[in-house]
Amino acid sequence: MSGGRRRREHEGARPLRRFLREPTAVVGALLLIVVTFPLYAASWVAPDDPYVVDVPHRLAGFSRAHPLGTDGLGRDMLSRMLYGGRKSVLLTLVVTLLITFVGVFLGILAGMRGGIIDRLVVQLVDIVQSVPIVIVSMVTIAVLGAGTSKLIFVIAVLGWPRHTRVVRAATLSLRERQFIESCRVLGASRLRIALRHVVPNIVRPVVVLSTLDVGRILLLISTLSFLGFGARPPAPEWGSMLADARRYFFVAPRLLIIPGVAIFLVALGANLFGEGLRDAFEARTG
Amino acid sequence: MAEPLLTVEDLRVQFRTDHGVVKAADGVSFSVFPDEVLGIVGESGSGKTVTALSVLRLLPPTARVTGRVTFGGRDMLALPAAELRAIRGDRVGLIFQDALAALNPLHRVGKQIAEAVRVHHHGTSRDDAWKRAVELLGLVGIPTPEERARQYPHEFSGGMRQRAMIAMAIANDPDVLIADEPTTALDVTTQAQILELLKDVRRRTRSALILITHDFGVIAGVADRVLVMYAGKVVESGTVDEVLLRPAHPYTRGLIASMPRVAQETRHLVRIAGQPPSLVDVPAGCPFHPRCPHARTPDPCAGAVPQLLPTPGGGHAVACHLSDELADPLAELGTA
Amino acid sequence: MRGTGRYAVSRLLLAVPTLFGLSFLSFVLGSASGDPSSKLASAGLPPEILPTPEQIDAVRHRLGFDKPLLVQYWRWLTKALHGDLGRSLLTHRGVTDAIRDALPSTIELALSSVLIMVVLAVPLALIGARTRGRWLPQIVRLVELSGASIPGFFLAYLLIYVFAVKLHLVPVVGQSGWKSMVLPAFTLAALPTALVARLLQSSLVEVMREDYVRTARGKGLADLRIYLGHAMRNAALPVLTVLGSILASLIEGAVVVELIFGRSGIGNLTLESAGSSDYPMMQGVVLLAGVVVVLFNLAVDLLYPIIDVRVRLGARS
Repeated sequence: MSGGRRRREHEGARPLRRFLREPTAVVGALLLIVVTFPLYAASWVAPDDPYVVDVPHRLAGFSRAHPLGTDGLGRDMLSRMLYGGRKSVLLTLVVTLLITFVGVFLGILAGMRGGIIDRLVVQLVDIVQSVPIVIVSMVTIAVLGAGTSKLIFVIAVLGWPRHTRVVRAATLSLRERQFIESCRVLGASRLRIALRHVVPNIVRPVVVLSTLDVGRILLLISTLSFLGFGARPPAPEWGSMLADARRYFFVAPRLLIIPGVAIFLVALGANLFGEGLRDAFEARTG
Repeated sequence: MAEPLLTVEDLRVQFRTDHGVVKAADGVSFSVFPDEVLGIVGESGSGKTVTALSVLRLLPPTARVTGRVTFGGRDMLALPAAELRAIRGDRVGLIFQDALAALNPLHRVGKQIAEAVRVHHHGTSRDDAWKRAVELLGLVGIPTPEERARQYPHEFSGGMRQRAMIAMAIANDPDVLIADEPTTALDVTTQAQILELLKDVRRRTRSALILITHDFGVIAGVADRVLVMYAGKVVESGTVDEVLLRPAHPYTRGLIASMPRVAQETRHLVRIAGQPPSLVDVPAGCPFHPRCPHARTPDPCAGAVPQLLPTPGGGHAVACHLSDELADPLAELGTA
Repeated sequence: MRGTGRYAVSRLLLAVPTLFGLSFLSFVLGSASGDPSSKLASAGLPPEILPTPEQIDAVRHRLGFDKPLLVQYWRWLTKALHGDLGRSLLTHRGVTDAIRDALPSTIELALSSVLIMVVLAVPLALIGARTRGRWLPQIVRLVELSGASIPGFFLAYLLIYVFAVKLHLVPVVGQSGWKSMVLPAFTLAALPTALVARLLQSSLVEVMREDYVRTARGKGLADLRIYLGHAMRNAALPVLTVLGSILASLIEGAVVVELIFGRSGIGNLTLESAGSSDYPMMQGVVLLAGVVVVLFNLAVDLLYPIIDVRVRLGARS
């Protein structure tokens, strides 16, 4: 048979090419890198200690000493943005990872085990998804007390249903396929099947889902901090910084704009990147 | 010889995909005359559906279409959108293969047929259009058409859905009907019924019919002339009698030989060796040569693309370098 | 329509345990904030005098806090079903009354946002689905994803700055008149609009690839007519399934919007109660929010067969 002169392409090459063809996807990736990069290097890049209060120089505009000015207590904005951003982004990543693991675990468990366990998981998903997460988070934190560890715990406990639904559906449809049956017949344990066959097939949709979740979770964390249920002052965090800046809205609007724009850019970058991934992974037919 | 209703000249259809450029149709030319049935036969991927769809420019926007399609004195491929829409469903009617997918699942059947009428006869009231839809359903042999018109596509059986599709296609008395594999999704008895219906309807409306299928048996029963397509090209064309009795192209012979015949005892099922080529990577020269039992490579079969030329015995046309030598068909038929 | 009856019943059966679980969750959250007996005991006394342990115990016993958790839950639940959610620790008013007073404002806000969402998302999705070319689809995607990326509290201040402060088109805060609804509704609508537009758009693209769209074209229908008449209804189906989470995000967003724009409403109530550990109010609000979402989802589930006739008649799609 003729044809087949083409050499076999690497598995990952085609999605990569598709990804690079979408300008918004590339922009998303760049945004993420550009905006978050300084955050990693906060301790080197920051001109000042974010906690140092300097009341005589409060609400100062842009200057050499304070490239982004100072806030209501004279603290350097740039430093607070850098350290605050590191906190926000790190929190977001930790929570997203937790949610991913919990969600994937429960999804595979429900899909592979079926029966009572599946029903329980589905019911749990239903209940947890029913209440708006912001409201339950607020109430729970009111009970447990504020602070970052509580925040992580609360959101992780409430945020996994989406992952579980997707993974469960994927697991169920994979189970239907013949090759899983033949593995069972050959005596493979369920765990082995799960790890060797199910997991590799769900990696892509889970990666897309988690990337898209980053934006959602960052917004959630910032909102909770804004409302006073997140990071406790004086620790810098973009959401709570914006809340502090409210009283200076007419005097120094940049104190609101800078953290707001920062949150927006990171979330947008994550969303664009995630959508780009989704399109790249999807096989497109003529 | 009457004037052709529809003429296709050097039609080429290409798609750009991740894997490369797919040449779905590569230089297809034919004519359709009034009141005749033209069959287009070939395996899936031979380009027959693409050819038919491109007549009305119904291919996805990723398709690149070149060539000329003349209908009513105009080139369809160059027609402005509004005029094209006037022709679709009015002078040319379409019948698709999978009627369940081809009908909107959320609209009542009667409404979909009535829509075909109202689009082209703006003055028609909803009532009149509905009445016409019911009338058409009755015409195609659907019992209790008033009730049926109010139902949804999934409430119909496969055969009934196909009848409804036919009703929709003939709603405006078209000059040409194009039926793409109208019986493939049906069981054998229903197939026969639908074919009878098609013949009947066509006779009544005096429209030409382009019948696309992979089944030579269907062609034999209904068509006047036939085109055999392979890998996007026409490899043989002529009247049905000629092509069936004296197939000139090795592919056609293979197709005919592979039809299982009830009355004949066979020990093996004859098949054509190999697979149809990928349309991204069509073999050089004659596209069939890798599978052809008579091919002489590299010359001439892997060299130039054979042109569609009249057969030595006259009667029809074939695209094969070796047509003179292979003129004796009897050696191929009836192998057991 | 036997099929619909069975479907409805099965949906109801699923909703009931959810409602139970939800109410239990609400109850637990509230009661986990601690035993308010000492606070309540000191309510009737002058500020300097602390209640004695016996007094606290008496209050505790009277209010039933010494009973096991499940019993307390049951008592709370039965009272709730009769409309009595207890008294706010903050204002001493009935929780049910407070909720009832706060509800209309929030509903008004939510409905306005939904209106804006529909008016903006549908054309956006149509444009996004129709355009080809290099730049326009990218711009549409950018707009849609921006809506999903901007924090509500930031958008609110941006809009206030531009439209109220600089342009003086609308009042900055306040609740009177339709003009004061404009900015809050737009702020609240941003995220749902983005999500619905995105979903509807990709759904439309899928639907336009279907065979019956090709048939419609083959009949001679114009593109716009196909989009509106054939594609929309089919494309809206996946959007229906996420309406519940859209509602949930509206409720969430209302917390921030009501705070910033100085509106009274359920969001405000939540914030106050959580800020002051007013546990009966917290229980009431969480219960309300959850019940609303569950009932709404149930309604959507029951409505689905009416729109997707294949489900209605029990057909395989």
